[in-house]
Amino acid sequence: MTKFKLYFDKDEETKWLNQMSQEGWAMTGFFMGFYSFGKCEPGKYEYQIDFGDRFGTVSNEYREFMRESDIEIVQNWGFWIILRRVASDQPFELYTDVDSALEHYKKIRNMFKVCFIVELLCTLFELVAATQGFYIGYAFVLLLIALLIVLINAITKQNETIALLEERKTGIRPEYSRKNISMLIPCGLLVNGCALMIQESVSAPIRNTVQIVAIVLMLAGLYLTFKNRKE
Amino acid sequence: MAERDNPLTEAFFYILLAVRKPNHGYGITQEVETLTGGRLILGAGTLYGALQTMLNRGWITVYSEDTSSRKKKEYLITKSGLEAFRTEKSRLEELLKHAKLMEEREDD
Repeated sequence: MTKFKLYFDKDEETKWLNQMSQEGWAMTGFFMGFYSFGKCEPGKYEYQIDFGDRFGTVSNEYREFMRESDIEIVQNWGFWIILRRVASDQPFELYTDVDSALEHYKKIRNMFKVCFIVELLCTLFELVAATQGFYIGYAFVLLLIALLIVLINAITKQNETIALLEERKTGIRPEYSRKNISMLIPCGLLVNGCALMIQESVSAPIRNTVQIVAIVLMLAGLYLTFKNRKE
Repeated sequence: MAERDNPLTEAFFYILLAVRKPNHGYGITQEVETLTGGRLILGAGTLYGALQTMLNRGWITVYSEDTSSRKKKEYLITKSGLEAFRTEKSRLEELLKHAKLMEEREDD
């Protein structure tokens, strides 16, 4: 069985993989958002997702260490390493003290920050190209902005997790407010990007409908974002 | 990660203790768990990160690595690891010694 999902939150992803395992589906591979599953005894495996030091590869030391700890490396994707272990009476956890967990989430946050900066540069480059007459460039700009918002949310999520860990370490609740941006905005931007791309090939009513859907999505997104902030 | 000057984290302290004699990853987890009565359980990520940091600092060394007999990799504390442990021990002793001052107050 194959399922398509896009996760920007490794904790949610872990939860989902473990839930699938409980339902008798063991994750066996990942490629570009496609997760493949094989049948297993319900709850046979427990999954965890680690963040490695190298892009696209896993060091021999890491591989050996995990093998000796009876942990299987299911998939390495970018910096991410999806691990699983046959369930035992002890829960499968990777980072069990505050210090190592903090380090782990800070590494993830830094990666998202670098992604954000690279994305931002791409967006600016694309914007310049669009103003120079590369018309389809505007569609790409919208697409890239949608991705930037997703990345901002990913960074916000890491900040939240880090703040909670800092609180556990110091006993002081750090000042912080929810700044999540509604996913309807990037959805609206994507639809708007599509509207721009198909502009010349479809009739006016279709074009206008798509454009209106995009605007409605973005407005609803803005409303939800501000409502969320006030609460 | 804790700097050399800072107090050791509990995980670092107990890992150093567990490699006073050659010990492998699983053995370290087991020993720390037994010593602390199940209070401190080292996750694989925590243990791996700590071992890598300590190897880089030269606090521990790989004692045996025999892949042919499928024997697990063992680690052993080094001289500078022992030094770090002793520094921490005297810090803890100082804390305990001074902790007695609190008892005097309770006697009042």
